[in-house]
Amino acid sequence: MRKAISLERVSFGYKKTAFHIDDLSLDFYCGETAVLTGRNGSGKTTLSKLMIGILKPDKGDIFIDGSNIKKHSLAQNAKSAGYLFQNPERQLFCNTVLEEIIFSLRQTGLDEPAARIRAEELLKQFSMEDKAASYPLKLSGGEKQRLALLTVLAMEPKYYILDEPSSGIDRDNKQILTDMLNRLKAAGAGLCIITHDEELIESLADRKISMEKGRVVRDEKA
Amino acid sequence: MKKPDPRVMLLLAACVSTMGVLIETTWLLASVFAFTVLLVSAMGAKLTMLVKRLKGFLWIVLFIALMESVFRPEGAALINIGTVNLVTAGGLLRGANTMLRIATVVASAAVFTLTTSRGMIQGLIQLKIPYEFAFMSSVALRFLPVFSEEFRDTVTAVQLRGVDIKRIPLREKLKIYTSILSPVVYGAVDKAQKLSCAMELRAFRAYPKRTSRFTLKLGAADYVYMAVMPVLTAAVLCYYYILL
Repeated sequence: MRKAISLERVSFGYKKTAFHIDDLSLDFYCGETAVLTGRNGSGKTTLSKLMIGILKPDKGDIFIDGSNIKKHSLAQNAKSAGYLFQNPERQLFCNTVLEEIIFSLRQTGLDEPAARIRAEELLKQFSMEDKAASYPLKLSGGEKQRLALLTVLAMEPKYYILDEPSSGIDRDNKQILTDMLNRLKAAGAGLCIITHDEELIESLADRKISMEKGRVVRDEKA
Repeated sequence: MKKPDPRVMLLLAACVSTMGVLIETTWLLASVFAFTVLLVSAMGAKLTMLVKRLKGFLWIVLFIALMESVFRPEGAALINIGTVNLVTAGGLLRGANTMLRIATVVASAAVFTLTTSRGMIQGLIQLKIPYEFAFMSSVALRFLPVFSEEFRDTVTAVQLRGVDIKRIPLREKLKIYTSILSPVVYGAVDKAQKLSCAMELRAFRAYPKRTSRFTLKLGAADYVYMAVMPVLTAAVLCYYYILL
């Protein structure tokens, strides 16, 4: 399998807390679904933010598709690896659901009419066409989560980093989300999912990585 | 030096800010700033953040200096293109004044780090400000870092959608920042609603009269500050308006 994201001897610490990641090396592969688990505060979200370049490591290098992320802007990194925030509200900033998806599609080079057609298709595909004109922040928790994922999906990255995609959503919405992720997996996308959700782990994981106090304590095939 | 009473802190910030806003003479502004830094440091406030915060205002100051030079050319022209003065001595002086003004206000605000939000609320209550207003102003201050974090996250979200904010044209940038304001304002209103609900669930305003177990008492040093600060402010302003 081809490496999608590589961390080489990465160290990172926050200024105001004792938490730190020390000399961590880890590879994530295309076509593989890696599930990142661990207690709250174990460093999962920090690791995921380092992987995409939201946080900069104090030491070490991170590569996306073989290219050092230091050489690129966050926007450029995001075209290769999509990132879903833990809180989907932080990811939505347009006036309507449709505009949210059009915004992502426009960044891939599509012109306005083509982006609109594709956005409508995507909404239909994920049963959200009736919400096209709604204000994104007024959607239900599950809908916001789906929309945030759709905005990432619309950019068609090769790799997805998803921070607790199933948190705070009900069984029906979770099923829709699981189907969405399964479709991505079937299409050959690489996924790194941070989750505590046993059902999601059971249905998707190829590899389980456990973290504790900023260290990887277990890395095994599922 | 003993930490001042929160009411004295409010008085100090009000006096210094008044001088900072009204005075336009550079050396006098610089003196007010130096006095504020010395006083606030002597009280025990840490001013390490001051330099970091002021860095953020540097571009605004340079912009003001440029605008003043172009539209209100005073003093010798330092840089010019043809007949248009780009930078003048007067413009630079006005830019410096703006920086000193901001620095003075920021330095005086550092004194509030010496008290807790509870202390500040009690100070306001004892100044006869209704508890509701006192509490709300303290809550508003506590939420500022939250809004700042939300704004930063939304900017990150925009970048994660492939928009290189540093490289796009100014017009596009303005458009993006305008659209970012919408979720931040929505978030603020939403948070305010949730907060008011949470407060009522904890019986906020259940009784018309609220008593305090913790009360503030002014010490001798506080009385000295309260006597000296308004007199000093009045003296400096009289000197500025009448004698200068």
